[in-house]
Amino acid sequence: MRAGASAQAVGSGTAPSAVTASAAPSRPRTKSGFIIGPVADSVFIIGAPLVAVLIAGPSYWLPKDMFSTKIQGGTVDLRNAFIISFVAAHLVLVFFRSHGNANIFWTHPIRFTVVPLALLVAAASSRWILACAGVVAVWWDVYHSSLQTFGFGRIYDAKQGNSPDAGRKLDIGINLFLYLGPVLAGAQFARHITNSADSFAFLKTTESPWRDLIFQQAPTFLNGNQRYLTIAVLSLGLPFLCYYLLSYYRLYRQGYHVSWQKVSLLIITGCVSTYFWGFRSFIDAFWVMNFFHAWQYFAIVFFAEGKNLARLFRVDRFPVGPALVMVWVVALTFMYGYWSFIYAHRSWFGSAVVTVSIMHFWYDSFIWSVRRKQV
Amino acid sequence: MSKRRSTSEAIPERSTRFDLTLAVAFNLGMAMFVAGTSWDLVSPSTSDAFYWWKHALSSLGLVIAGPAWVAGSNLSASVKYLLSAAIVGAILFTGAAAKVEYDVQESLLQPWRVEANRVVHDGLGVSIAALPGWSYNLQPRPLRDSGSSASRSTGLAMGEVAVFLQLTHKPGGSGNAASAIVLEGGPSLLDDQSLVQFALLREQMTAQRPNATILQHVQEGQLDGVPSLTYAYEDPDGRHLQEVIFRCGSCLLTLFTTAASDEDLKQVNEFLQSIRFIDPGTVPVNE
Repeated sequence: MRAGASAQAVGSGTAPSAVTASAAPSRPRTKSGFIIGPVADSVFIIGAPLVAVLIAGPSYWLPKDMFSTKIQGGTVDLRNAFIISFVAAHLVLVFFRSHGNANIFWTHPIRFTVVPLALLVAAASSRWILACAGVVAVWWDVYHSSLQTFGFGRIYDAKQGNSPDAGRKLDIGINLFLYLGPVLAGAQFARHITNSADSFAFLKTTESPWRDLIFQQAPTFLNGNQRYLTIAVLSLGLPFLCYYLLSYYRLYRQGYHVSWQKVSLLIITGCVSTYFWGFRSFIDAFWVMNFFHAWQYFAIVFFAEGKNLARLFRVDRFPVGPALVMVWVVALTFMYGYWSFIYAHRSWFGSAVVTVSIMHFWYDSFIWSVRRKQV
Repeated sequence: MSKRRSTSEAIPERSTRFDLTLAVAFNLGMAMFVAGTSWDLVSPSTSDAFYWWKHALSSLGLVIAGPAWVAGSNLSASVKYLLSAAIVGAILFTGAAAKVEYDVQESLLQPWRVEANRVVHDGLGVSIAALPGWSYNLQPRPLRDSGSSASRSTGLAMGEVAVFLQLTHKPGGSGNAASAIVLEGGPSLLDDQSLVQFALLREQMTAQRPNATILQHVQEGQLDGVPSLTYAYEDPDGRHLQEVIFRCGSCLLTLFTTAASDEDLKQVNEFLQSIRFIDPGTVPVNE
């Protein structure tokens, strides 16, 4: 009936928009609108931002001394050690899919072999390349994180049988607004600028003409004019939000099935992102936003790659195979995460960490395609 | 027909048992590798009595898990042999590297030796020209004595600091101020970005001292091709002081120099230019 309504709209002489033409469901609706299951989705995907808040909140209210310890001669806050290790763990996790899944690997063998090797060698050979890669990693991380929520939303839409093209650009826009917007317009913009500049710390002790530009002029200009950025984000973003809602209402009238899982995900993520990036301290925002991002990522990898990982770890014949897979994957990735946090600071090791980060952001943009039915 | 059936039943059974054995071996090896490596990551000190147990556990785990995984894969026989050999070779190589690192760490507090007008520290991998007329203290001493089971007589744990070398020179009569050179430092994981921040912070703290005048802001330089960070200042007594920060293997070292006269300053600069780095792994220790 909905498809018929769509056809009527076309036949009445109204010029069909791209949205209208693709609104009709193009694939069968799945029994469950969830990716894994109702409880798992609620805890690991949709409600992940709230889980992060529930864990981070109490731990940061407690006295700092409770978490302070000596590691390798330096004083470390265990909360920070955990989140940085967890973030690094989720970054390296991508390789279990890109390289551990032969179907995925052979779609782009050059991207999965030559490119990371080239970046590793280049970053280890040149401080400038390493520093530039560091800046790229800071901002690509923000973009990539916003698109992870976009990706989950598209999967939920696919579960409802909706066309993979329906509302795609709208979803990209809203996710950028909800994630990138608060970073640009909020309290932590300056910190992101500082983190970017710190990649070029080696310039501070040289007479390079870039020193003043990177550490003085650019940060002063950007921080000094952030209010215009905030105005731009709000004046473009809020109308876009209205346009988004209106567009989806039109899609709904033309046959689109609303996924309440996607709606919930967007609302929760948007609220948490706006609050933490916009108004909280950097460490609070970093902890919450990165925790739930990594939490969701582990969930989707285990769900999508569970059987493949069981074969990879030779445990597919054992009843405890799935549990053992989780143990190995979590152990190996967290070992990498801890190593990168404590030890991997110089030359080849530091370059390896940056390479893993950049490859994670890049690979994630094409190994989870709903349109190509990879998920 | 029944003969063919019985034959086809026998091969899958052997294959299944073999695959099962490989799977169990792989997972046992993984467990050992994860246990050993996690233990080493959390407690990597070479002073630890279990240092070699940790390495042995993770290496043994890899030696078992690697070939077991390769053998159970669908690769061709020749590739399997090559891969297994590569895995074992890599493990032997890392074991040898761990031995070198262990020897180096254990030798950090050994005294300097004199060789052809130069003082040489095999543990640090540093060789410096001996300055005529200067007094030398060639015995390194740790600055912080933790008193724990981790501290030991010939090595330094990560984060521990020692004075490796001290030189003093008191020109002329007893009333003249002494010039001095002190080499201090220890194993450190400070990364390159933090190193720059560290040097800038030290300069800032020095600048805040009463009557201290910064003569040269932190600048990048080189000591025998190794990047270094240097800044200089003058103290209230008019002496020229420098701090030169550089890495030497896994150690972060700082050279504190104090020159009470122009002649001494000249010698201090000669001292700095005479620094040479040698590969600590290739020099025999305890000779």
